[in-house]
Amino acid sequence: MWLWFNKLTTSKVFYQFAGRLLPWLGALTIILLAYGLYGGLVLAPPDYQQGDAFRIIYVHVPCALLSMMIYVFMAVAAAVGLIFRIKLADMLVTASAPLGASFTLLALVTGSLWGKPMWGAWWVWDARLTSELILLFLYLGVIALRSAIPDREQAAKACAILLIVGVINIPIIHYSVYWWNTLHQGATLKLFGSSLIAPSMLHPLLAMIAAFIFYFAVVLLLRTRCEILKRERKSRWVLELKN
Amino acid sequence: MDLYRLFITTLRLEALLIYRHYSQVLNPLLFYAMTISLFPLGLSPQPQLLHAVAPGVLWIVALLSILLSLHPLFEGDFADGTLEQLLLSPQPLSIIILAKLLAHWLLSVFPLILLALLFAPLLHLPLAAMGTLFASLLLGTPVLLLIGAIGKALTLGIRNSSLLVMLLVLPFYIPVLILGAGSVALAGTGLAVTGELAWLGAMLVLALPLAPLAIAAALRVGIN
Amino acid sequence: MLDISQLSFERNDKPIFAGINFTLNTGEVLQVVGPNGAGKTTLLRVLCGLLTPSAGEIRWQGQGIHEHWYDYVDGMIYCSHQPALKQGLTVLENLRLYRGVLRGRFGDIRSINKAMQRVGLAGYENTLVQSLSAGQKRRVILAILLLAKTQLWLLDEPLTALDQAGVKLTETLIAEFVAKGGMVIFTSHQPIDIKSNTVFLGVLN
Repeated sequence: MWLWFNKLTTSKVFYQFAGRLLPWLGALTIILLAYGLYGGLVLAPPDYQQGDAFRIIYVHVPCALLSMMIYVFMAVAAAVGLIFRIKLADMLVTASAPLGASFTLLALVTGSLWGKPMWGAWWVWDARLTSELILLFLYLGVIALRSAIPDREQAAKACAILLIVGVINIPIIHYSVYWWNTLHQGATLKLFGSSLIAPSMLHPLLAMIAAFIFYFAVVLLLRTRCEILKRERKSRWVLELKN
Repeated sequence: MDLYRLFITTLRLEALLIYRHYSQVLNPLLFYAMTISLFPLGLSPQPQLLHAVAPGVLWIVALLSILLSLHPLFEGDFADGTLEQLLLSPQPLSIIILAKLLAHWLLSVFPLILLALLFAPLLHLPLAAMGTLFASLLLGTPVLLLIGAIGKALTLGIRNSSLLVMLLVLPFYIPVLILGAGSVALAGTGLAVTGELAWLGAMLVLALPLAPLAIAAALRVGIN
Repeated sequence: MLDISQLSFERNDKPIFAGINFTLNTGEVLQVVGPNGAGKTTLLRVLCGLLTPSAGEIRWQGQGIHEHWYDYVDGMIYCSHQPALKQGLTVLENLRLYRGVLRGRFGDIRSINKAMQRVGLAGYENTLVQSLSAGQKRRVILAILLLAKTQLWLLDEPLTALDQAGVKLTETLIAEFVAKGGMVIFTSHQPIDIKSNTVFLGVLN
């Protein structure tokens, strides 16, 4: 197992492995996306309170979920890379950061689009949205630090430390923002009530979440393959690939 | 006992160094005084309005001043090469870092707390909230300093890094700000704030052992 | 004994040096020479453990230095090409900094006085380092070397800014140190005159 893991983390093996995995992941993404979109936008009935406006959850919820998942993924990858000195881990982190930031931005935009008909304003200092905004700042911090350090290994280690500090702090930030929200009697309207959600609405949502996760995996692998080629452009196997 | 002596020696020498370059300490204090004065000028001198924004303003400006005061931290050690000696020292780095930060807190952050108390009545903060302001700053500012030092250590050697430090560190300052300013605002309305202060204390207890580890790791990375 | 095998270092995939092997025994001196930009300083920084090698091993008394870090840093002192002194502290306060903070073992106040005399800085104890000349700052470092009870000195360009007497003093101190079983690795462009047949030349290019 350990041996297999070690082998997989060498650039060449990972490049080939990712190449073989990609078509399958791509197909899964498309199927899930098609079902999710059709189920969510056509089959699911309109919400009895929010009407058709609720349908934005089919984009908003997967984005919000991924924005948090990717940060945790990056922190775990960075920690593994830092402890076991695996270069691949840093490539995964580098490739993930802009993706995570984009999902966070999408979650914010879709959240505010949904907020307009619900709250009557594009932006409300709701606990969820505020947390997303802070998460976006955390992503931008990682990207800024990464681009400010010219030495690649140093940048990787510095980002890893920042990500680990960040992942410890995220729950603290999250709970403090919720406390702040109750203190100031903020918006109480929620995208999800605590009530049960009908299966005809839920299944497309789950499909969309899965589709977004696979989409992330596809783009991550593509970007990592690209990064591997860039970093190993002088090695024999890459040159052979070119011919 | 040995660790205690190490701590005291570092603290004394670091305090001596800060004391001999006191202008570096004075600037964030001046910044605090001036920026606080901008709020009545920019908003309105109406007591009710100032009264409402005072807890937030006093805390936010304190937070910004601490960010500004981070600049000399480790910078001198990095420039003159003693940081390398620190990293090659057979002594525990965390203790040395804690002593340095304590010196910094005593000489440049504590005066800031006193200044905040001085400016609080000018913003019509109710007297009932003064004790909470003092206590929340006393518990919150060390956390800000510890987190800020991580950011500073991560960006060591990068040119014009002060803005980058702010970008890295500000999101982590949010919980402290929320609890600090929130507790002062609550105290102003006469409510009990022991819970909020306890949370600030918990953050300090969490940051005190963990932050030096992150700072030490960041310093090792920064020397390259 | 310091044992180096297949030591390589690269920065952003650019090799700085590669495949360096040598063994330094007690009582031996190694002078690293090479043109500017050959990587002498980087080599010293890798040897002292500030930088991690991309490949190869550094063993101190038979143990890898990164695995047995505290044993290594306790037995070694590294002096960068710029004297690592606090400008805002006096000479004596700097020595205290090294004694109390940077090094665990160090001489007492009597040996500090003796060392100050030896390097010709008696009377400068309470002078701020910023008002010393570049050569005098070097001499403070020499005093620190005398006081730090280590077995290995890693010196980066120890002769710069020193006058003739200073160079002579450095040579004498190195000779005395290795005669007592110490080990020295230093970089310099100048040939060094040590009456000892254990001086080796390592060429880096």
